[in-house]
Amino acid sequence: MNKYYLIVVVCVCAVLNVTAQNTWVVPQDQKEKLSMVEFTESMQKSGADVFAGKCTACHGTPGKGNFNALLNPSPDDPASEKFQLNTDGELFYKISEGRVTMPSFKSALSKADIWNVIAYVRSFNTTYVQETAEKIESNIPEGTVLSLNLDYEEEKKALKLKLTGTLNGEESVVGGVEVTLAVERYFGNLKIGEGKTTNKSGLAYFILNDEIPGDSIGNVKLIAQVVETELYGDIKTEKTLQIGAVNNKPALNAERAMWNTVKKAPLWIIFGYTGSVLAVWFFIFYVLFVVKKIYALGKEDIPEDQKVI
Amino acid sequence: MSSDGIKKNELDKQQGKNSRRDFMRKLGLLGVAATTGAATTGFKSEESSSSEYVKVLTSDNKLVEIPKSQVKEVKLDTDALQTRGRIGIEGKRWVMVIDLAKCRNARECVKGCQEHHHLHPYQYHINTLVMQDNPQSAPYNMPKPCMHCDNPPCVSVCPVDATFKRQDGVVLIDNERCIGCRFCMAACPYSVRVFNWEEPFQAQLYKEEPMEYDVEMNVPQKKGTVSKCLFSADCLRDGELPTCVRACPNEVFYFGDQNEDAVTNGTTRETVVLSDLLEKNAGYRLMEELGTKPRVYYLPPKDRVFEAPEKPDNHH
Repeated sequence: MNKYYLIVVVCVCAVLNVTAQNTWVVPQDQKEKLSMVEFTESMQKSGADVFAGKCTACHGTPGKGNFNALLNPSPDDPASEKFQLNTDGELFYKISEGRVTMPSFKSALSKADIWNVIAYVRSFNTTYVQETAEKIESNIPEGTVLSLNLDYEEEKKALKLKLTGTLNGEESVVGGVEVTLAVERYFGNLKIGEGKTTNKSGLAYFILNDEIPGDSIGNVKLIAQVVETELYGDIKTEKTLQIGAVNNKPALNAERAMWNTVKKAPLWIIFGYTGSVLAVWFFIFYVLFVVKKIYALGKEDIPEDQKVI
Repeated sequence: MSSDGIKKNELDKQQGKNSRRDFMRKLGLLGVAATTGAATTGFKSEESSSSEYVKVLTSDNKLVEIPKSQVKEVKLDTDALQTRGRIGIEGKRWVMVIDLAKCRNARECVKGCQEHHHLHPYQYHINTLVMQDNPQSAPYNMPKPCMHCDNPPCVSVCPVDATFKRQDGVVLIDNERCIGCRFCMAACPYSVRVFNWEEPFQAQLYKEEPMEYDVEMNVPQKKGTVSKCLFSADCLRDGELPTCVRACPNEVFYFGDQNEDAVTNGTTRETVVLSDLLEKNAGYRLMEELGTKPRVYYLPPKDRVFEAPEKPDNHH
């Protein structure tokens, strides 16, 4: 009897293990996340555009079932029941974070874009009733205007972020708020370290371990922002500081090379070629000169005593 | 007969310079003019005023509507296009990183590229190949664009200075200069160049809507000339990633500026440190031994998330 019991337990464990691999566990607090605003038709429309650009390649067109079935785990049709059983929060988390073959879209898409995609996907579910989030209470008094300040501290070799709030003309420091710092690069922002929480004095330090590559005079554009935009609003500050490494690398076509333009050809080619052209011309002219000399000699009268024949 | 043909060509060219529809097609420039209202050197602009909406075809082939009052017709100056195409973007050294572990042969890069550069379905500026290094190891997919070498053999052999390397590292070809000798195709060790054996794929479109030649896009394509991957130089100018990089659904491509030591993934738009990425993942370049110094790096196909493709025919 015990043996059978053991087999059943093993089988149940095996089944659970398989399902655990197939299910995508979303943290509880993320699962309950809701959109702050109600989905509108224009949200669905822009969501459809984003979907066409980023999702169709694997998920196909919703409702058509033309998703890429070869992928593991299967991307599934967003209009399918299995897909629609996800809560809004789960969809948001899965789009943001990604796993295995599903890319993470938290940098590629804005939060608004992700909500738009969810609005679009929900438009294929006739039984869906949207719940919107209650206004979340923050730990700072309502009406406070937050502002971020960014400075470089030479001694600490660190960037100092200061978060202050102004309420009724009174300024105070704000602690306990997560902030991130990034440096602007040509195609996107590069994060400097992980996000940090402001301390009691409203400060957060980002230590620079390596020098950041800057422009031709060492300027770098830094972007600091508050992470929880839903709670505190879009608090952001941008500042250009001369703290980067000076970029003095020459242009890639600056050196003399075989492949470069005539002016930038290797010197041995320029001299070699010009030299050989000159040598050939010199030889031609020399021959002509000698021929002319022979001709002139032929015209001269030869005295009787010098005649051979 | 032949003189008639020449006359007709000239007429077409003339139309091309004046056609308004032509300019509407160039969204990038239109967008710049519409948002900033700035008339950059080399472009002339004229305003029209009305509150109606007009349909505009963008550079990524999307049909959008914008208020007519915002529309500024931008006149492209061929000389300006060619000059800026030769000069390139100052202070940049473009670099591409291809993560072979992520490629599942979706071929979205190929499709995007062929659409952007008006290529025939059999012409590839970028192609995905099935590779197998030895009979024991599993095959993998390898996207292969132009390597934009820092020591480009193709440029060395060009007898007419049609193909050239810019200061930002991009190797381009000027179809207005190309004589179709195909020396460059023979010289390229990566076989990335294609020849326009027949009339271009969009020949009909060129006939209906004559357009100026943009050396940074190699459009319109021209019969009897060589074409190649351009790292989407027109997109780079607008601060956008190349078409193939943007089109990939599987996080394969990273693209960025080596001077900034940062590359951005086209799918996730995550920006990472280039030197870290190459160091930690054993990045390599193709045919290093040739000394061509490619600007495209590969990350080995390790810990793949997709199934291995079928074995190629050359290994049994």
